[in-house]
Amino acid sequence: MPSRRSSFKTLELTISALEQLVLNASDKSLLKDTPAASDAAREVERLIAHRVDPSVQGKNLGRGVACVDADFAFLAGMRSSNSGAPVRAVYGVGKQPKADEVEQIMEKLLSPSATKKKVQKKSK
Amino acid sequence: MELLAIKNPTEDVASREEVVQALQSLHEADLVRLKQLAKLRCAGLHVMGWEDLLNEAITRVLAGSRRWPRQVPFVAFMAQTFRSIASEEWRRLELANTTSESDLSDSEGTPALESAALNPIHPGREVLARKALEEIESLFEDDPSAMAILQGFAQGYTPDEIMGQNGLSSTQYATLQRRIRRKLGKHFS
Repeated sequence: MPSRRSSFKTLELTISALEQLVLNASDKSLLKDTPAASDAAREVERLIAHRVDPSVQGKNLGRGVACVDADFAFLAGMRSSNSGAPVRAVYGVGKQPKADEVEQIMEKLLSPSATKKKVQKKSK
Repeated sequence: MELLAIKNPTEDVASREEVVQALQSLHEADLVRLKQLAKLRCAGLHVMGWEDLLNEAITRVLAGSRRWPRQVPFVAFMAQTFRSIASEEWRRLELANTTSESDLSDSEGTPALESAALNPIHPGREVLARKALEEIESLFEDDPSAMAILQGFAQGYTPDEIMGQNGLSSTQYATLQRRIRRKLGKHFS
């Protein structure tokens, strides 16, 4: 009898298998099968160059987990700020976000990659 | 004195300079690979884009909090780093959802955070994971053979098991794998 597996576990197994396909593909077929491969490569190259040497200029380079976490924890706390307890648990003791702070965080969370995904979905 | 010749484990780990050199000498195919791997790992994680994941991975590797064992190919090591960071984010999502959805204890008086830790199937995480799976599966909805392989992956079957269950030769299996990868290349590039 098949056991009930969580969607999360199923996703993890699927992604791991797909990762292996990407890792084991030959360079030639990977480049051939990827549209605008050069652009994608340059994009990653710029990001790496910026991280290795921060004086390299670039846009849309990603923000790293620390920023994303801070933003997310901030919002998670906001969602039940009336109660107080979750805000302390998630966002930190004695912190209550202000409306304009939330607006700023929302803007950050919605760009650049999140916005890109939404636009792609709409255009389908 | 063989006993004294025990290797120092740090000898097998690359230095920061070696990491920088490896990053700077990645060729085009590996750069594309990194992007696709980062995008794959972000599936379902809407709080993090692939650029964020790649940035964080590079930061950790350069800072030495993730150390590159020399015997592991660099891109495979980066894929492991992506997975590790993504796992942390999933765990954080669970905790954040738990505390934000309700600060009430359950009927037995167990605090919400404790309940989340005890429950291996977290509802919020399940919804996001299900959506991500549906997104991946939708790429293959008009290709039943590829879908059968994907479902084999999802069940954790080995290639031999997938071939056996679907009556595929190794050549047919390799062809289908390539078809799946081509779709992924289009979707995750």
